[in-house]
Amino acid sequence: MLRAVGELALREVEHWHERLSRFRSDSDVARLNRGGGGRVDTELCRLLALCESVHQSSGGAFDACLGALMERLGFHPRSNGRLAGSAETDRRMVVDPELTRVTLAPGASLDLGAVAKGFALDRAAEILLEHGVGCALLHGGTSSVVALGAPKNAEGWRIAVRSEGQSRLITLSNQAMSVSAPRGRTTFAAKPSSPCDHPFGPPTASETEATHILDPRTGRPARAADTAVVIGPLGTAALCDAWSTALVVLGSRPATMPPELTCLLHAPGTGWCTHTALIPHAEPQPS
Amino acid sequence: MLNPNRREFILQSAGALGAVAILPNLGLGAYRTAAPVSVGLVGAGRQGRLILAELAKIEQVKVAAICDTDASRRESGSKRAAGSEAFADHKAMLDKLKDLSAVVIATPTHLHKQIALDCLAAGKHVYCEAPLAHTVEDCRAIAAAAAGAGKQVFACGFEGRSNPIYKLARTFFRSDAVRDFVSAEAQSFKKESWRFPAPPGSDAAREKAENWRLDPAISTGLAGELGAQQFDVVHWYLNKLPTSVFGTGAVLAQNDGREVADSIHCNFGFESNARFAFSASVGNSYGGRFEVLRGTNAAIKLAWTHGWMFKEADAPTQGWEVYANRQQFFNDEGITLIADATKLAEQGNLKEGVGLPNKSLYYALADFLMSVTENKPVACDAATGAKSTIVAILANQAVVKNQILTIDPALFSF
Repeated sequence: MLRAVGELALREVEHWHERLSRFRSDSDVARLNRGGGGRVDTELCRLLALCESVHQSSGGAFDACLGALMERLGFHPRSNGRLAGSAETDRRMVVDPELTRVTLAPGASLDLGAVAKGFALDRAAEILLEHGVGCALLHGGTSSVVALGAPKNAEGWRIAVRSEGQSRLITLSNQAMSVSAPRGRTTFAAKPSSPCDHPFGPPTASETEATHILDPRTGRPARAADTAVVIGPLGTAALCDAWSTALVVLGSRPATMPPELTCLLHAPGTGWCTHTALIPHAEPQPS
Repeated sequence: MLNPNRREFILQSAGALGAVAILPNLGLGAYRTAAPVSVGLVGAGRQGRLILAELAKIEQVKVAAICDTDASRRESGSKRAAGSEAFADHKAMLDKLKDLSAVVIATPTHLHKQIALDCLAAGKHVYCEAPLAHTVEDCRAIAAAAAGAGKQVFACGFEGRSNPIYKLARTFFRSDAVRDFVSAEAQSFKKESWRFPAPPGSDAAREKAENWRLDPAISTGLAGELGAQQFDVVHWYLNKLPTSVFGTGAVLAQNDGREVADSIHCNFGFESNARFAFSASVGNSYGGRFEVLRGTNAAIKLAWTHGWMFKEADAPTQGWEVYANRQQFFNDEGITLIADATKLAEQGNLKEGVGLPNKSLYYALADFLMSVTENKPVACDAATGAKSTIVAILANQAVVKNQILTIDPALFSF
């Protein structure tokens, strides 16, 4: 029966992949982008409201509406490397939880790549818990983790996070974690053929090397932190995902970040730095 | 032989990519029903959840009731359909919500009949998931009740008939583009246990109820639960029902004491000596789910969100082919079947049209709601759904008995 429970959890991840992928023509994200918004169900509405909430409290450092910009920069299989369109950062969305409706402003385009994995893992973990599985590690592939319980005779699941050759060992139990870093992905398209193809001016050498997290406020590649790790209680993997992305842009913890989240930042020259809020939660283990 | 209707094809495909111009709204914009519709969902499990997600996209649809015998499913269904009322029993729902206009049935297959009959008796329009029922008798009872229901709409959820790519491909299939039918094959492969967990603390009866697909007394097996949708596509394309079915199957991959085969093969015979082969397994995923229909001029491959046509070297070239989008499959080149291609080609966005913009289920539900609010013909009525379901039930019987069954045409007379 354990296999059946595991399959149910994996099916949940598959379900959200199908709905949230920007690259599937029949996904909800593709539909909303085509139609400038539309009706959504309560589950998707909840995720979009979370994105809006982090957008507001991070001062715009996180933005789920950068899809068109990401496409122009080549982070899309269909990108042709030409950077068309205006130089403005993409516009915003309005989420109405009462009517379960989202409206995208002209030019805005959803890309939930930053939070989709965490959201799917949150839902999968709920299924495991509902069926009595209290010990499991759900790993979304280098960026999102949900740890249920702890392995036998251990305090928790031990996860190593590396940045610029420096490792930090983190022990998780009944917690979610997200790691963001402005590296590890390259554009699908060739480099822009001329400076005028780039709406924000040609990228620098270091920017072309690492560009997949953008500062929504400027449209330029973000790397205020080399690596941002956010840890929160169970059920917050999507929230952690959004905030770890925002922290790569911000470089330090803002006062508006929810107190139940703990973060670690790695910046060039300073090494690892832990930032807890007024209410500390799940202090990570030192390396 | 198919009796290709040249006139139909010429009308529908005249000029560049003209065939697609006759297609209904693809869902590139949100579908809005002609009048507000209040819907009740009976069965809030896995399929019910998918149905709620698709209904949520359609303007003017309000899911007013969630009905499920299981409290946790009822609760999660109610959360997903904001403002809905929860019921443990469909009769209580019908008694209380007199202004409910339609009911969608997504319970386990063997429970469909009574709910469908009660909903029809209460004057509701009904969308019932496919397969329609688990016995020939239940299929016939539902078809009879729907026939006697007057103006009420009864739609069976065979989704291929509403899928824009399948509708487009059928115009090609029933024309010179494919020409004389040679054979058809379909498969449904996905590695999974086909077992579902009951909540912790459940007794054996609850676990058995949760795993009704593995109960030989009520399950239609892989042929019914996976194959029926694909059988219906073949019946619809050929305009024919099979006259015989050979089936064989075994437990090859999921050897956990189950009796229902986890891997099956079926071979259907038709009056014209045409054959249709079907394989399904939950022991391997390769290739997934698709149908291939072969003609003397071309083969059509359909994979629910995508479709392709593979032409023979000696097939005549159609004018629109110069504009077509193509995809390489090892040694073969497929012409991508793109619904709404005329409009997309005019906009220079033909490649953007590869793949459906919504799931098949969306189009089936939208078709049902169009029938309810705009009196559009039903995409798959009860009698049609019953026929394909009866074929699936007989295919499962052939698998269980490992033999050839002759299909009595009288079974399809309602």
